[in-house]
Amino acid sequence: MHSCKPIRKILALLVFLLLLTQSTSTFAAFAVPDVAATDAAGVEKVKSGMTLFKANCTACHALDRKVVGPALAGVWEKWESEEKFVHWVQNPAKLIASGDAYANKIFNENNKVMMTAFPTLSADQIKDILLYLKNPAAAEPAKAPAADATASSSSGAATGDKGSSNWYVWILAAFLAVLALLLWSVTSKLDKAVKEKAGEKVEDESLTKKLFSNKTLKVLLLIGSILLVFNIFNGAIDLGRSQGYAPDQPIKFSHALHVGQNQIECQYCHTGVEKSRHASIPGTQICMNCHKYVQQGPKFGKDEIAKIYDYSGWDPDKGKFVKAPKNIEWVKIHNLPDHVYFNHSQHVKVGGIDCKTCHGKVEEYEVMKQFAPLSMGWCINCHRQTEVKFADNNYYSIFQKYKAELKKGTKAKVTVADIGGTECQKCHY
Amino acid sequence: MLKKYHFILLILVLGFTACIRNDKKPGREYMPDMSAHIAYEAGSDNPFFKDGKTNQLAPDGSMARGKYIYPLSDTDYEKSASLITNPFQFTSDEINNEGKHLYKVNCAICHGDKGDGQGHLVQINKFPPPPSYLTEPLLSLPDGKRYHTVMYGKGLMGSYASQLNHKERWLVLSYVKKNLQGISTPAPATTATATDSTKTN
Repeated sequence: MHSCKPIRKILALLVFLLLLTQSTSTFAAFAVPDVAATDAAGVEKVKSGMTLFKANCTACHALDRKVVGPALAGVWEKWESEEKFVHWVQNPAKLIASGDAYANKIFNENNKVMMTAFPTLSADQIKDILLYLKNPAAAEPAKAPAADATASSSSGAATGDKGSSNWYVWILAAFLAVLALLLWSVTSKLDKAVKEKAGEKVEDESLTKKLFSNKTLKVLLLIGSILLVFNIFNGAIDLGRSQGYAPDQPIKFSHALHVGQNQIECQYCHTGVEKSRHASIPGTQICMNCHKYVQQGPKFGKDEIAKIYDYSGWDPDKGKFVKAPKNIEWVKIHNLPDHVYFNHSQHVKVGGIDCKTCHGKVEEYEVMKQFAPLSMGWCINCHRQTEVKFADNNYYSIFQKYKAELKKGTKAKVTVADIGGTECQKCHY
Repeated sequence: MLKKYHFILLILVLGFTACIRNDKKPGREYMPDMSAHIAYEAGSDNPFFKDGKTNQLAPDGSMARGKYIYPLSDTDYEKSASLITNPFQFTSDEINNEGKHLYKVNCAICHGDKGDGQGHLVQINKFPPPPSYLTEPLLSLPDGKRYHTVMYGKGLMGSYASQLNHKERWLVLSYVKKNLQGISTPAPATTATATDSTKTN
């Protein structure tokens, strides 16, 4: 042990020297003081820094990761002095033009995107922001649990779609019951044969006869066959329709997350719905409006969002588009026959029909599915029942007679059928 | 007897197959003679074009009738302040109805219903807050820079050029200016430009 001591001393000295040379060789940092949670005046400053940070900086910066601009935690270790940092925030273009080495370095590192100048921020305000960057926990100690809560609630909302498979269970049960009955009859017949062979006197009435003379069984059989026939008709009606069709899509996009939890409006992505025949499937650039920043989902983590990056050609590490975009080949769910004309803008913009009327509670769909049967009967039925929205709607200005009758009270309501909604050529031409 | 047995078997088979339904498949069809589309639909594959798509961009050098061409490129943010002004005179009805609707659909999710940068995505901690319209840097931002931002995006905000057309962009901007910021003068573009040029070099 004694012999080790001088070696340790020398090692410690070496490490100290190494640290010293390192700290002098890298960029000279400036100090931002720590703020304890008990320091009321300091916490006030941190809070004002947080407000300023959220009002001015978060459009491009985050604390812990690169967004548009670099991560800001530890920014004091990169700039040589506070004055220079303040200068940078107030007028970055000037600092770059002055030939400052570090200013030019980060300008080039961030795809030569010029940072917005903040001439209105005073040096004291920028110091407050720095205080917040150093001590983010002092300003909002409750932030972390809140973020956890949203994450857990979103994963909890992921419910399995098991409703449709209940049918199979019942059918299987019925099938097994029939099988059991048959087996029972076979075994009892065998049993009877064995007994007869043994010379025992058995009652002559056969088991099937016994079964079919049983009244309850007869009723059961009748109900069963009616159900079967009903099922055949139902299946025949479903031919060519795809109600409930929910195919696997190239990206596991969840409407429950985007519409339900995040409350993004349908038209945000389906931009064509008020302007054209098609609701339109959004291109990747609409995904990237948010997903340049949101890189991780609550359910599939980074996997599904990485697919968007692949399709759009975005490199999240470099923060820019590096490849040509590819098509996302979504599987079309709602397929109308060629001999039907349907127009989204006519229904949504002109008629004022809610998306849910035909697409159901999309905000609850983990996987998109066809909600309505899209049959002709379903269309016509809605045309017969839906009242035309005359109020505040210039599209129906020519129906003066109907409007007058409604006012007078001679007509209770005007349905779509009244204005030609059940004419053949309205949809078939 | 055999015939009766066949009939029962047919009913049984049909009856049970009618129940079997895979939601991953579109289902069965019977004589879909006029259902399949002969013409190529928007968004469908198309073997006649090189890239295999039916939706094609306009050929180089052509331009749709009445289409607005934005004269500035991505990096011309500073130039937009003096070059771009609102060519429309919207009625307050248009702004209150259509403008408000467009704002609610496209902007409010982050910028908030009041324009204070506290939209739903910000409140549930999914997206960082954008700057408020109601305080200084954005309160006196020139119209041109606003339009440029909608065209190309800024910071974390993406481009809304594909979602909003020329008229709609100005409708949204008019709604923000008139209803959220309470600036009612129709053409403050020149004064705004003057104040701004003192701020940025």
